[in-house]
Amino acid sequence: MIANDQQDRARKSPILQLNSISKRYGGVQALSDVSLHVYPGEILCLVGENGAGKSTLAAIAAGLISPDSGKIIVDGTEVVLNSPRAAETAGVRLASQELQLCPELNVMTNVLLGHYPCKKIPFLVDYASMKRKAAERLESLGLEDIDLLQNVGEMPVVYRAFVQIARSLTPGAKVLITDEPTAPMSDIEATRLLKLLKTICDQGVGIIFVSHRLDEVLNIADRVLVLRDGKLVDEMSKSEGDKERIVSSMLGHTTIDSVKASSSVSADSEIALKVENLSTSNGISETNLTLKYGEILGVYGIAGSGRDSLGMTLFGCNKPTSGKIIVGGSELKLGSIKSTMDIGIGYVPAERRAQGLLLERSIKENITLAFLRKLSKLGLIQAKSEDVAGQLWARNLSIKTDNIENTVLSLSGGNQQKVLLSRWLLTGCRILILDDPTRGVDIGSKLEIYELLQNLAHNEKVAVLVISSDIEEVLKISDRIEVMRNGKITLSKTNPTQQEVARAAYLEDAS
Amino acid sequence: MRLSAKKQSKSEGAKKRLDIGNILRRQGLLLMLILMIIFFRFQSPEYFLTFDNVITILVGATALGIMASAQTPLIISGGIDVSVGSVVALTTVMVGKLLATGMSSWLVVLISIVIGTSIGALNGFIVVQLGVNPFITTLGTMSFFSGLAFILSAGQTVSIRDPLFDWFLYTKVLKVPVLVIIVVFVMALAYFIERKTVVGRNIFAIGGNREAARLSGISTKMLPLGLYMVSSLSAAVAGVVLVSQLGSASPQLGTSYLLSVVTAVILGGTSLAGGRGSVAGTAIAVGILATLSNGFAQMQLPSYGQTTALGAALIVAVLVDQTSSKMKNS
Repeated sequence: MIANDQQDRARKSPILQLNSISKRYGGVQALSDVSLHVYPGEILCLVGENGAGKSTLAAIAAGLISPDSGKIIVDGTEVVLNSPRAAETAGVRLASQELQLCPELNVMTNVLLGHYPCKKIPFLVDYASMKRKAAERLESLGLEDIDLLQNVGEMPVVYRAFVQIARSLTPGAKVLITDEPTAPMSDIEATRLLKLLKTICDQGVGIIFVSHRLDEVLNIADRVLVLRDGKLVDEMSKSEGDKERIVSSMLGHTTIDSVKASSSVSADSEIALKVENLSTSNGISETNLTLKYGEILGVYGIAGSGRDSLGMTLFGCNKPTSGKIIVGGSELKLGSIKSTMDIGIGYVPAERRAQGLLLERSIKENITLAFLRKLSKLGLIQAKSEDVAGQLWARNLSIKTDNIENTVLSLSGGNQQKVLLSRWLLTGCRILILDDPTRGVDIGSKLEIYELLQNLAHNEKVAVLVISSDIEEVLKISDRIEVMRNGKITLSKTNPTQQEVARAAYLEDAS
Repeated sequence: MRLSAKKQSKSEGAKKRLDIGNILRRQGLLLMLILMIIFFRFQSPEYFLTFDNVITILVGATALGIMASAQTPLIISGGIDVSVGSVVALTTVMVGKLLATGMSSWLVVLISIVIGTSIGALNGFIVVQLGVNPFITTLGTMSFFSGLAFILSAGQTVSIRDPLFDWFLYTKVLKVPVLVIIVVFVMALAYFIERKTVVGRNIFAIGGNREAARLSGISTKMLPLGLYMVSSLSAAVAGVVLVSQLGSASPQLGTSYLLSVVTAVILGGTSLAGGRGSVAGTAIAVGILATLSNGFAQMQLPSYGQTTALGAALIVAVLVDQTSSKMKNS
């Protein structure tokens, strides 16, 4: 079997080769000396943890990013892919993670976007030939059932992904790169997409498929490449691949000291928050959770596992479809941010800029935003109290600035995150929910934030819930860990190993 | 990390430049006003800078000043209200109609103002609760209510002679008309709320980042609703002021305010995108508009020339605004 594979490949030469690609972002080596090749008609899967370099590699192959060093060879010729246009000319196509379609335009227009057939008089679009061409393209992909005249915005997500792929497969396509196309899809939808990819590779196109979902990777891949910390760490053919091996390669064998200062939470610590059978329309089903005062509870899950919905829902941003949240013995009014805050819950959202900061306003104003009412009398802000509070918390969290009147935009990512933390610490909340608290934060600030959270829980006895997409972070700081997958808790344990957490996040379904 | 450090130093540099840009813009506006005053002073040396004429300019700016003071926080919060002109028209027509029935003039004013404010409640409800774009919403209600004003009045202008309205027009405190005192008070109040109160701060927060405001427990519905009501309230008050100034009620009164209120706010440096602006800038912009109108009248230039000059000033102001925000974002 393997021998056959190899013979088969030997006959063909690779359609795309990346040789010794390296790319550095600031102090982070995103990719170091990575080489790969794809044969025509082969599906190559790239897997790895967040930040392993998958998306960077895909972007380099698609001409979106220029590598610092390394060679790119398409069909035997060395090329410089310094723009998407150059990549397109070379025959490399990207169907990117965020769908880039015009939702108000119909399918045929989207499929041929930018390549409209014209009549003899310039500027007049030849709609008849456009329709024919779009139909041909869809037909060649086995997508005849898509209505050419429907607006793309009205279609389900899987069809939009189909249109996106159909659009990228302009004539001359040799390699198709798809970056996590299945992330927003249900299993059934994902299966359809995988079938489409099979069809495309049967036509001789080489496919690079980036995904988090190991089941589908093993289902579709001819070969699997595993990236870790910007390096290629494992390569396996379809017959050699199994989930256990992939997961252990993804994580590496670095033993992270999951041994922590013995947690001060004893079994009889007071329960801060209890979630019973919580279900929402945005991806949580029948979830149960208990958070105690004085502990850090880590919640880990991959994208789409429901981990981000959990924080939003607990904070009252959206109303659950069923279930209860119990705080201090009484039921919390669901879907109300105000009552959630009143009962002493704080929330640091995942998207610092989009959901957290007033970028053009001062550091002080950003710190006091959620507590301003308490710093005022009869609606008048007590300027002195506000100054004192701002100074105090900027100092407590060692936010690096010479003046808290500076805009928050002038701070680094780590310091911006500290501003958000201080916003809630100032309110004196007893329960703090944080979603990806160190996303895009430098390592120094990261450690400061960890220390702060640990101090907050273990000394101040605040109940801290850390939702994270970073497995090492969860293992490092949590007293207890819950793992989510497909909207359900699949693991709930004190001091689990990294393998246990990863298994629960990638492989296991809750029974 | 190096990346973010670079970004940081960059934005710090940009911030310094921005501060200069900010000062230039605000002082530039003031400079524009001063230059204009000097220019008209030489065009009309014996009259333009007399006490009487300055008072005339200020009285002429009353209605615009009141409405622009309310429009500024609304635009800062990310909303807009272009329907104020129609509220002015409807209010004046209501005043004329109700006075004709012999109702007490105090009651007439009260009823007209309540009706005006309820239009703001309608605007606010449509925008906040039903989620319709604020420009479209108020464009719609503008058309609706100015049409209604014409229907109610049958397009007629009614002259109004009433002691209360005369009192408004002629009462002076230390030689300063009460109308001028009212507009100065309204602007000072708006400035105070903007700078010193929780409500003012929340307006900036909602306009700057609605989601961040919501996730910090700020009501992103009640406050905007209130701002639409205040905007219409200001237009109703402006309507009453205009009735007293002109001694007549006409459905056409509001038409000149269709865009001049928004123009004044934008000219004053408030960002249409929300989150940035000040009533102080608006006050200077209102001064510019009033001076321009007075000066043109004295030079006996056609009023169209005024409109042209205003249009040019607005474009320049917005260009300066965009350039400074580009500087900041680069």
